[in-house]
Amino acid sequence: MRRAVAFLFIALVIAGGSVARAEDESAQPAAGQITKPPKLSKFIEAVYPEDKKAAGVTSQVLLSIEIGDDGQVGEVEVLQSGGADFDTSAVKAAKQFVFEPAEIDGKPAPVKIAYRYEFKIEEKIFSLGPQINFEGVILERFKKRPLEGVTVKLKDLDVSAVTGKDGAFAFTDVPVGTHQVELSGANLITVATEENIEKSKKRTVKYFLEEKEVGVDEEVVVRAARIKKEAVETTIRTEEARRVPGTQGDTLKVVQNLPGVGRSAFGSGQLVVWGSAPKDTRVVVDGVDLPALYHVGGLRSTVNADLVKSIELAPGSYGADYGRGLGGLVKVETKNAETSGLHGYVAADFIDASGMLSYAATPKLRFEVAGRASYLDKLLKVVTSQDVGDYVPIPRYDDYQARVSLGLRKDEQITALFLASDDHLKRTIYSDDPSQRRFENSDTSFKRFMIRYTRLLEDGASVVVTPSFGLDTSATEAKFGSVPTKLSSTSWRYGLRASYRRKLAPFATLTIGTDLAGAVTSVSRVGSVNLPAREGDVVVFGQPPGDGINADDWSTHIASAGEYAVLELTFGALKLNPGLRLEPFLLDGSRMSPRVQSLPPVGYTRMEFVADPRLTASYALTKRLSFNAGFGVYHQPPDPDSLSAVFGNPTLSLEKAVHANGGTSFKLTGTLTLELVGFYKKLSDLISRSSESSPPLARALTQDGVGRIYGGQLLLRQELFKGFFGWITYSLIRSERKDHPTSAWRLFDYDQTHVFAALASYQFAKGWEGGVRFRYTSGVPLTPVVDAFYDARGDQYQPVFGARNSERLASFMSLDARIERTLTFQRYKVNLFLDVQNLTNRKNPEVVIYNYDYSTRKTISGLPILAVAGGRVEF
Amino acid sequence: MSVRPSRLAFALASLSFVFACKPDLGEPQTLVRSRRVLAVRGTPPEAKPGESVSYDLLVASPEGTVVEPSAQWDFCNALKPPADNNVVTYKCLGDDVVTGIGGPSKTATANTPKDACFNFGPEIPSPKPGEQPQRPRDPDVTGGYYQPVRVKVEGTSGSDDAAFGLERIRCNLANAPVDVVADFGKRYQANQNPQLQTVRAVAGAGPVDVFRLGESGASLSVKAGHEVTFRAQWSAESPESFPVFDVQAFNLSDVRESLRVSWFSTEGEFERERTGRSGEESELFTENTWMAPTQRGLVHLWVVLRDSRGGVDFAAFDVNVTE
Repeated sequence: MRRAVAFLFIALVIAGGSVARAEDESAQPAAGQITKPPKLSKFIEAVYPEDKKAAGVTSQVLLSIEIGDDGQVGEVEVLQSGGADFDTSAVKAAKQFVFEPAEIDGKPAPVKIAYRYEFKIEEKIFSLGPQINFEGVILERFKKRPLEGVTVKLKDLDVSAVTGKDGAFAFTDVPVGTHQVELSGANLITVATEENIEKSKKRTVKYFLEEKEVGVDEEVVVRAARIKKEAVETTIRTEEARRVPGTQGDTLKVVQNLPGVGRSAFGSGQLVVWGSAPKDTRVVVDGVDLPALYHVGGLRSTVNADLVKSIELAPGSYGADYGRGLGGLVKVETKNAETSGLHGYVAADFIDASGMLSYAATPKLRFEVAGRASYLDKLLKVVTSQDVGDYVPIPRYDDYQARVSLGLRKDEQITALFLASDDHLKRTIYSDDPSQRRFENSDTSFKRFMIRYTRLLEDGASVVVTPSFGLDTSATEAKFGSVPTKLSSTSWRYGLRASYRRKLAPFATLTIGTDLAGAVTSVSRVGSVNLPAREGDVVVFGQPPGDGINADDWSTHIASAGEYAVLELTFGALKLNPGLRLEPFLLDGSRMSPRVQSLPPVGYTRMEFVADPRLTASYALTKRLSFNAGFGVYHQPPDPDSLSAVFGNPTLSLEKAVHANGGTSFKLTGTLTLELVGFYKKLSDLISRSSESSPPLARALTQDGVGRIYGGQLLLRQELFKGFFGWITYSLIRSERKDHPTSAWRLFDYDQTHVFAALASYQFAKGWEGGVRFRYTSGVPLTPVVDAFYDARGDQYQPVFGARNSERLASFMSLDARIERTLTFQRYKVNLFLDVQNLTNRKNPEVVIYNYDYSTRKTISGLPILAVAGGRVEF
Repeated sequence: MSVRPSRLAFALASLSFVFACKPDLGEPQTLVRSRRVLAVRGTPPEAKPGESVSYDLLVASPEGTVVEPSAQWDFCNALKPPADNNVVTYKCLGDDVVTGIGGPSKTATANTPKDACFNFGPEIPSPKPGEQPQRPRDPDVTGGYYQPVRVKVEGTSGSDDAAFGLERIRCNLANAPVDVVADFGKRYQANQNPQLQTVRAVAGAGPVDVFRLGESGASLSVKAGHEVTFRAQWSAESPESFPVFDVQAFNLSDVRESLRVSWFSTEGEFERERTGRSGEESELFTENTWMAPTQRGLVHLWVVLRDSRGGVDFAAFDVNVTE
């Protein structure tokens, strides 16, 4: 608002007889002393000339004002003009002024003063009461519905607001500057962030919060905002994963559909991540290694899906808090049970049955048990012939889990988790030909027990400590004709993970930790050096193994203590996560050379020390567009099986990989994201079979292989929004190996150049849900048979191979669908589903087989159309 | 395997496994459609390095047994890498790694190479100073090591017309305690070729011996499309018992040879390509069913008897298929 104001420049009291004369702005006493200056008691505002005000013209007029001994204004003269209209207006106003008269020598007396009247246009700030300068709305992250009752706290000011039904909140008169904002609610994961309030500006925000899984405690929630530490990482919520077609409701099977993950060989359930060997990708549950994510055959995961909170896949360049693997990292996080009552479910389908029970003795003390057992082997014998399992091995498996969580003080919890899994595979093929009689009996199991202590300290720092123990057993006994194979191993595992994370500065958070893991393994093996097969072996499906027989019993102790530090730095839009992992490895073995009669074995103990730097970086160019990059060095110890002095090489050491990747992420909408990533992996010191016809003693394996993997991946992902979610992913990957310095480069056995997957799921009305999935992958490489010759002793032809992995199986395509109906009752919920794989009944080749003399070849197809129906009752 | 119609509710779930059975790969190995080597026999089938061995072979053709095949005989000296699943390296197909021992003729006689136990057995040359000694060869499950014998027969199928016999070589026991070596030396008897005694056909008219050792076999007529069960019987001495050094237990265990018979014909179809008896089975015979062709004519048949240590015997006979 513009307004003219009168300005009393200075009051000059000039007493000079009856008339005060002023030559300048100084008081000029005429006779006597001014004992009291005149004081303006009534001010009249001059009228601002309209045209000048509209034009924004300001001015000043210097006046001479005569003030009588009664305080009344007499003559007014313009001493210094400010413009005719300004002068007129100023004089007119001044003549209406009233003063308290001046006094000379204690008596009222007339004086003349100089008075500067200023015509000024200035903005007037009116206070209209408290102003809202920070407001926003809070929505649920996935369903985008407003969240009521969320407490928004400005921590540094200690003021809070609570959202209403519309999810809105507002603060008034928030001081200018950066403030810490904490969002919390009964069913929310508490997060913290910062907001900057600028002068005279209102900050309007929209927060998307993730609701806790039912029963998740406040204590275990990380108060700091979740920071994406991996350069490339895909996280899937169990809510989405369970609904992916083809997974039969098994949350963890969704990993097979994530970007960068190749299709595992039929019935193997192996994870081929960014062209790495399955054994090179680590699977951890709450930080503790599992030997397998899936049961034999890949039909189910080894951990009950209802215990899983989230699954994260980092295909490469992951942080310094994990190591011992050249490939990717699958992190599975378990969740807490509900905080009250008895809950659970029972489920069954054609493959297996499972159940879970959770009970909260108190809100802080909760128990969960879960289990699963398969019966497909028995079912198939009922519906087909009794000997179906003799021709095609039908896996039999079970798994069981138990979890106890106890909340201690505020933000403090201790959890005990027990995981166990068993797999059995048995097959007997009788033949009238003794050389063709086969049987295979395989039993594998693992058990893990871990205690996880988490605490969030008052200063915002967090501590996590996880000691663990485990037992892995594996026993395979097979016979192909008269050629036996026996391989049994028992591993006692131990580990300790501990980390401490705290904020060092507003822009820096440090995590330090230790990751100790070890395994004492006893191995016994009898049979051919070629069984079990290794990556890189050239074999033909159904071909008998080499008939050379040997035996070895040995033990190893492999351990490492990874000490790591990760710094999370935030410089505005730039985030850097440098990390360093220092890790000494212990390689201890019982036998350096094959057994020599009754001589005692000579063992070995070696220490290897590695320093693996890691770095991830991201830069948010805009709110929607960001770039990221990652780099890391990784080392992996040899597996105990490879350290045999007869079948392997006890001098084997660490394999090495260097990962580098870069990419961009563009948020098309709040829930639709496009990601592009390019990557390169360089592998060295790889272990492979010796190619020598007469290798040195105890050197059946060598460690001079190298590898290179490069490619890119695309992910267009729609997170759950109004009942719909889905993603499209395409990976272009080339994975090559060179087993020895003199060897030629070859394709990796699991190389799949093109991997495409598209899936979508939608929640219809009345509890109906449906989804489809389409998958396409290049066929895996194969080595062709170009010739054959006759072995008259065995009455069998022997293949002559062409260039290694120079051909491919035909590509794989499958369209899968899932339909589901959920019926909700007062106390329980019933879920029925039908999961159909390979809707088009496409004959996807899985392996190549040859006729007796290798002159004709055909393929064995995998799954035809397969429907799995099941039901689930939750209470 | 067959799916019961009444259980279709579960059929889809099981189909995937049922479908994983082998696809049709064409004619079986039993059908002789071209000239083929069916057997290579060394006499004796096991010899020490330097000992003389006579070799002969069985070559079949659609016209019957090739009486005088023109065969080139060689020892192969190329070593097979341990990682190779084949019993003989493909390099043996090349002529630069072989040593000729006879031919062209149906038979050949040669002394087993003196260095056979170094090349193909457990014996290793002394390492040079500073070098790691070589890895000894692994024996097969019968404790045997074998010298490859290449035979090339003109006009036969297979790579370069090549087939391989494997002469079992008698080498020292590797890495065995002295007392075990001594015991082994006393008890081990070199392998002898098994001996087919009869091949008996059981058809509608009763059993007929189509092959009898040392005698002429009886003629057999079978109606087109009819089944015949053949029983191959071997001598009681054929399944020999012998000690094997157990590489895990480091002691000797006694085992008995398994015997198996490969069946071949120029027409018709055998139910199984090979049949036999394991060492645990005491029967001295094995049977197979043959379906006569639907066309009349003379069909040539062969049986090849093999023991698990590389011994071989064989026989040939004909069947007249009538309408």
